[in-house]
Amino acid sequence: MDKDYIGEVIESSTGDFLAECLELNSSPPFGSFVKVAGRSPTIGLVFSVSTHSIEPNRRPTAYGKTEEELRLEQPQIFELLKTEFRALITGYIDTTGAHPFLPPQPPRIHSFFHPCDADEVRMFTDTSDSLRAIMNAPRLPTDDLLIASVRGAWMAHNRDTAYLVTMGKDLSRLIRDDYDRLSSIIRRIAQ
Amino acid sequence: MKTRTPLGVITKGSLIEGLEMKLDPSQGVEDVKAGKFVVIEGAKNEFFSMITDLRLDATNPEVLIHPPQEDNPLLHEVLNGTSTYISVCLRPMLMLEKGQSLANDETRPVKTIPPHFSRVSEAEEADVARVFGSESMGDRYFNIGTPLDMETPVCLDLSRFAERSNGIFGKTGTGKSFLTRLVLSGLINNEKAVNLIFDMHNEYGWKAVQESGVGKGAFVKGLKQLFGEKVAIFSLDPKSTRARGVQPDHEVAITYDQVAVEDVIPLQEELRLNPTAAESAYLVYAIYKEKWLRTLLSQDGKDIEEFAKDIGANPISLVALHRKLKRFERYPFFVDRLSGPDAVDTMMDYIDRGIHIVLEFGQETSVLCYLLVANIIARRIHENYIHKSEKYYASQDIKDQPRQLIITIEEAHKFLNPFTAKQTIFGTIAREMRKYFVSLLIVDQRPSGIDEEVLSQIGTKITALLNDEKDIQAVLTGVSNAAGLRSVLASLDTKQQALILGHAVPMPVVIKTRDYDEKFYRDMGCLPPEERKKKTKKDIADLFGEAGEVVEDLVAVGSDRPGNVVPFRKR
Amino acid sequence: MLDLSAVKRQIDRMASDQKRIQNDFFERIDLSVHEARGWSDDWKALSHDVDVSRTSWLVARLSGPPDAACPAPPRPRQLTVIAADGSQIFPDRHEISSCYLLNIGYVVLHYGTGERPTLSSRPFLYYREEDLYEEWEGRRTAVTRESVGIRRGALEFTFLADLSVKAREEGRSVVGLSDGTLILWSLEGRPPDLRAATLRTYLDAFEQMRQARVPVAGYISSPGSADVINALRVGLCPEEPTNCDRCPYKTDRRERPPEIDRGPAPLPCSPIEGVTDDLLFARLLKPGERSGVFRSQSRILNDYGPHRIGFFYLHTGAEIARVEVPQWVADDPELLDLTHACAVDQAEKGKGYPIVLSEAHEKAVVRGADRDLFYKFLRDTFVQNDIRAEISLKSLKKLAATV
Repeated sequence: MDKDYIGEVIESSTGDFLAECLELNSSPPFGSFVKVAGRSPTIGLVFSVSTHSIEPNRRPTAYGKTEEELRLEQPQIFELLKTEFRALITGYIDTTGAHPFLPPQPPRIHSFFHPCDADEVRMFTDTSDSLRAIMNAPRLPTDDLLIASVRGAWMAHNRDTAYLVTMGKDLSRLIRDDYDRLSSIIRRIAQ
Repeated sequence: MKTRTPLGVITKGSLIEGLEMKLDPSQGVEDVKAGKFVVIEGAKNEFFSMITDLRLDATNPEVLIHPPQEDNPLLHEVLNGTSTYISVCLRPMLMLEKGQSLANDETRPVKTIPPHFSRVSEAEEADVARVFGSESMGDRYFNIGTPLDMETPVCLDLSRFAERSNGIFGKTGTGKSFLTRLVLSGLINNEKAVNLIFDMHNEYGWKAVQESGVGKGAFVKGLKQLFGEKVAIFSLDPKSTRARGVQPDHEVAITYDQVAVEDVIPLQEELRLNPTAAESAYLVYAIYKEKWLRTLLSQDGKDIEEFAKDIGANPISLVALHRKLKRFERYPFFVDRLSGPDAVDTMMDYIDRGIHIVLEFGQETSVLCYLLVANIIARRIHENYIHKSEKYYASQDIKDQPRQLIITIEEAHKFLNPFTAKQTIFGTIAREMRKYFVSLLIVDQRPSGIDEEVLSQIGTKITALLNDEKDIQAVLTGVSNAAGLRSVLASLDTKQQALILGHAVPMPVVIKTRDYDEKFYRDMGCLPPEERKKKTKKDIADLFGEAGEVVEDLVAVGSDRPGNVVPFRKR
Repeated sequence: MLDLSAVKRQIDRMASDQKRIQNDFFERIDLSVHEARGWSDDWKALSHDVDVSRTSWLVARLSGPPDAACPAPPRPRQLTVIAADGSQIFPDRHEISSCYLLNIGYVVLHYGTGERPTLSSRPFLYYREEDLYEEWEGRRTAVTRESVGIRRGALEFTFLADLSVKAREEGRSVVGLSDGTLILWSLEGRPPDLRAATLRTYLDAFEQMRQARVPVAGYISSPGSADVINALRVGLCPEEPTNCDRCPYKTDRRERPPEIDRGPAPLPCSPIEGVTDDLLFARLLKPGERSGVFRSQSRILNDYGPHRIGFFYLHTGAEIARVEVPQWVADDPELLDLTHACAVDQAEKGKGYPIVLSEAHEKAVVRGADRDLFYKFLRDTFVQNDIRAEISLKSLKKLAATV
């Protein structure tokens, strides 16, 4: 078994997957890239992180205590919670290389995933294809995801300003009709 | 060939209206100037073009209504080239197949356009040389300056230049004299034609004061200083000439008999002569022939009316004519009799020998004087040339071929305005082109005052800054693709920049004029005294070997006076 | 959101309360309180009376004043609380094969250390002949729900003991809790060999825990017991010794004219009859307090040896609970205090019911969907292995929907 894996896929479909994290509250950050192990590893972009009870009929209530206090005095409640995230599939890697489009098969259930390292992030963010995937996907916090993923990719590119400008320009083509929106997004990316 | 710096790609345009390119976002718009020389790389051809206009564009009007704030520099950069971009208008001037050079005397007008997204780049040294030639290719090419923001020399094809009449234009203070000096130096240095310069303000012969720029107030060398005995200074006012430190080679005097009626008629405006004055003059001439002026002037006030009756002229008009022509008597160079050889004959002699002439007017700087003298002399020379040419055409003997003569006149609009153009010799010369081996170099700040027909005969125009719409229009008359050049003309620097278009250049080009400085002097072969001494020593040593020492001493005596020694110029 | 289990308990209580109210209840309670207080000084006398009495009802033996109330001692900062609970899928004539499943849920909660708890369960499938049929006193019968229940209970305690001992070996302070009574009433009157065998498992478990000095307690929510009230009733009885078989007051009733006799004539011990211990102690105890320890006189306890069960009542803040402990816990002040503190803390954490017990229950319970899945596995495996299975018509109808 992979020692460093941080979670497991529990639902999978062509465009996105749901994964459960090994550790509570230790999801890969919103807007970051993860790699799902497999013969053709799939790359996903985290767009929704949630923590909730593992049993639908048992829901957390307020205790009025800090987490530390609860760990000391109500340790069982943490066993009943899990952290999950949903990721948008933005590409995959096979023997011929990295492909910034949907894989033929979605990742298999119970596959392990890791956060992508800087090289992998760069591989999939050198071009702005993932931005387009974000724009086209329904039911996501699109603007925030754009901001988070561009910032993450910028870090992976060693904070190269030229890269940021290039991505910004690609983004402006994608959002060409809504200058207000573009302006707001660019401003928040640069913060 | 060194790779050219890319500027952008062609996005729109047409053959008639010119092309438009989208400036690459990495290029700053402020580095791209109107008049800049660029190359469009089409599929088969290269289009040598000039930038004529620049425009700011935006894809979305929203961007302009809510421009990015100071605190959002990333947005500035992002918008640059995507939502906001620069369009640059280009005018292709010349089309060459890739790899081809411009062979002599070929014109390659632009007949088609490059395809979409053709790359546009800054012109390189090799491009400039390819289009305009270079001095290394022969002495028909003379370096006149550099294109905007480039270091490579642009060459004027002097052979073609000398084939036609040419013009140097620009509003007052834009350095026309310098341009003229440059061109004349080229012509003299490369021996393309003999020059006769009517130097109204004593600028060309010996020293002149630099009006502005680095070294303002300093003296620059005149043609004689540069070229020594190749140039002769004739003076109408020898006293003035000497006062400025130079001995004229010939003092010019004119007798009354040398003045023809045709010489006076162009002065109508200056003298405010009545239209009937011409008639009256002709009437006098009819009887007295060459002595008409002498005779007329010798009349006294009262006698003129009678005199008029005698000849059948209108008395009032003749009186007026008399009064006005009386002014001539005040000119010191008007004499009854010549004391030395005839000035014009001497001139012709010099011209035949290939020596260039600068005619100084000294203190006689009135327009009237200038017009009169220029007309008189030019007419005689022209007559002379007609004879020579006809003789040559008859014999077809190369020995008989007269030397190409270029006459330089300033304030040309006085000579060549629509009225006088038909009447002065200069109008005739301009119209005749090179039939009789004489052409003009007109220098003027009001080209709109020049007769249209004359302007259309001008082969090459070298134009500094012009503001007046009419002047710009005049200069661009008969030029294809004039629309783009108009804005270029209006955007020239006030000094040291000019647009050259016409016969002597394959395509219009904006240049920063060559500096008229020590380096230029050196290039023209004029060395500073110490260096000259060394060079002479060397030359003597080459020539005479051991006997050189004797010659050296001889040389030392006269070495400071230019024109007295013949240094060999190795080509 | 509604805490359904808590509400359910209250509804049950309400229903039973309703019943009691009908009997003019509050006066009775007052009286029992009065009695309890009355014996405070002279409790030894009452104790003696109780010891010598012969009653038809279960009477608690006293070890101190009946109205004693002990405040909750502080809980040690670090404590491990363990519970095990079980559930079963019974043999069902409508489903395939006779087998049954026991599912033991077990929970180990560490307090004060921040360690992760254990919340888990283990299933046990019984299908062998010897599991499906029992032989007691020479008689062979198929297992019943009840016997499976007993087996289950024993298994729970086995788990509880093993986990407690292991935790103790790690140097922890441990308390083991169980849901429900430690007194195996149901074994009374059963065949001796069955009794002995079952008790053996429980008592071994208790012994393990005793050796490890881990107190074990049975926690009963909404206790309906009246042992202590019954002791007070003995106190009300004028007879000495009290002997219900020879109660003189019962005979008087026969002489009453029928038309006046609307109900049984009140006996001297009647006034507090019907009151249950929790109602009494609800008045005697403040939140967090426990009563004194009483001894149960349930006959089965004679077989318990050193593990005879005593009990106390505890005011959890939300209700009165009955906590049963073996004698060796009751007699050991340290263990008793630990148990008391733990029970109070647990009930508070669980918002009225010990959290460890509700978690163990959650882990143990086999819900409808799991049950169906279990049978599905059975079916599929049987089919794969080509074993003929018995299916009744009733369940065939049920099955149709799922495929």
